[in-house]
Amino acid sequence: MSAPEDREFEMLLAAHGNRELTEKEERRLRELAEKDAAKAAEVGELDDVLAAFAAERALMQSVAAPADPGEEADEAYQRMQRSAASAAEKLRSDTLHAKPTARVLDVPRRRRHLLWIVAAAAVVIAVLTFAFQGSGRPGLSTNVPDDKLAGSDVAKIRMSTELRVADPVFRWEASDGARTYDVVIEDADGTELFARPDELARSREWRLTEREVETLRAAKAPVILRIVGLDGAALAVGTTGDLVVTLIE
Amino acid sequence: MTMNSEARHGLDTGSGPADLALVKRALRGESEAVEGVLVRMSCVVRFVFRLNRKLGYRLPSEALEDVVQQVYLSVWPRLDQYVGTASIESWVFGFCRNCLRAEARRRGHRLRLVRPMTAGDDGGGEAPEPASDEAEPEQEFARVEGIEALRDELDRLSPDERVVVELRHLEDWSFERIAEQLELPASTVKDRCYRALTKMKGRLRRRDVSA
Repeated sequence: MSAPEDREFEMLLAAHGNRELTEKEERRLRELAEKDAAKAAEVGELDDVLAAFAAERALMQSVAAPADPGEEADEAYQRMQRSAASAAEKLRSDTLHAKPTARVLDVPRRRRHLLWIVAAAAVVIAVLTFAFQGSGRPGLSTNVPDDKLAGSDVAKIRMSTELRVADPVFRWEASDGARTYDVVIEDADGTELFARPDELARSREWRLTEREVETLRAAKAPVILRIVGLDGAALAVGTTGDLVVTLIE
Repeated sequence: MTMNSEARHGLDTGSGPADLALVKRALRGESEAVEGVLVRMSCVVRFVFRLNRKLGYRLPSEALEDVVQQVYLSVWPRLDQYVGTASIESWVFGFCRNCLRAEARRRGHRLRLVRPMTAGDDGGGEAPEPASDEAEPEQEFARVEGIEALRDELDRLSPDERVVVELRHLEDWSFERIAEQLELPASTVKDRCYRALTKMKGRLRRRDVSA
C-alpha cells in the first residue's frame, strides 16, 4: 500500500470508529483493508467494538421500554417494587429530616455587635497562642492532610511498589468502602500489559506468575501499576493513582 | 465525511438540563424535588428486573431486592455528581448495570460460565433473552459476553474519555452536541472519542486472546 493510501486508510478508519462514514467512504475503507491483512484485522476489531456498542444500545432501549402489565404481575417484580419503596422511604426520611434548621438569635443589635467583638478577640488570642509556641511545646502539624481528610471523593490507597522477583507479590492497604480492587499494569506508553484476574478481585494482594514477571522485565520502562478500589456498585472509592513499579532482582 | 443522522435513544429523554435543575433542588432539600427524583428513580425496578433476564444472570428474587436497595443507596449520595449530560433514567441505568454485575460477581456468578439455555434444558432459570427470534444461542451468548466486556472496558477509561464515548456510542449524540455540552472544540471531542475507542479495542483484543 502506498503512503497516500496509508494516510487515507488511517483517516477513514478514525471516521469509521467515530461512526461518521458515508456508504461510499465505508466501501473505500474496506477496499483498502482488503489489500493488507493487518489493516483488515484492524477494521475487523473496530467492527467488533462498534457491534458491541450497537448491542448495548439495543439492550438499553429494550430495558427502557414502558412497563408491561404481565411483568408487573410477576411476584419477583412486586417484591422488588416493595424493596424500592422501602429504600425510597428511607432516603426520603433521611434527606428531609436531616435538613439543617437555622436558629435565629433573638439578641438586640447592640449586644450582637458585642458578641462579634468577643468572638473575634477569641480567634486572635488563639492564633497568637499557636504562633508563639516554643519548639518544646506541641505545635501545629505541618503535614498535609491526606486525600480522605481533605475531602476528596476518592481516597488514596497506599502500598509499596517494590516487587521482589523471589517473592513477586503486591500488597496494599484496605480502602474504606471498597469491596473489590481492580489492578492493572501498563508500560510507559500506557499500553496495558496485564491485569489481575477478576476472581481475585476481593483480595488485597496479587502474586504475579513467572511469565508476568518476565513481561515486566521486558516492558518499556517505567512500568505503571494502578489499583482502584470499588464499592458494591463498582464505583471507585479509592486509588493508588499511577505508581512506578521497581523490580528487585 | 457526513454525520450520521442522530437517533433518539430510548433512555435519553433529552431532559438533562431540566433534570439537573431538579437534582440541584433536591440537593438543597426541597421536598417536592426530593419526591420528584425518587419518582424518576422508580425505573430502577424495571431496569434491574429486565437486565437480570436479558443478560442471563438469573439471580434469585432476594438478590434482586438487594440490588434494588444497593442502587438507591449508591445513587443518592452521588446525586451531586450528576452533571445533566443525560436524563436521570439514563444515569441511573449505569448504576443498575454495575450493582447487578457486582451482586452477580459477589455470588460467584461468572457470565462466561452460564450456558445459553436450549430446548430441553432444565436449569431452573431463564436464558438470556435473544436480541431477535433468529439469534442462535451461541451467537446470543457471544453478544452478551461482548456487552459485558465492553462495560468493563468503559469503566476503565478516564472520566473525560468515558463521557465522550458514552454520549457518542451509547446515547447517539452528535459530536456537535457533545462539544457544546462539554464546552470543547468538536475536533477535540472526536480525537478523544477515537483515542478511547482505540484503547478499548486493544484491551478487548487482549481479553479475547487470553480467554
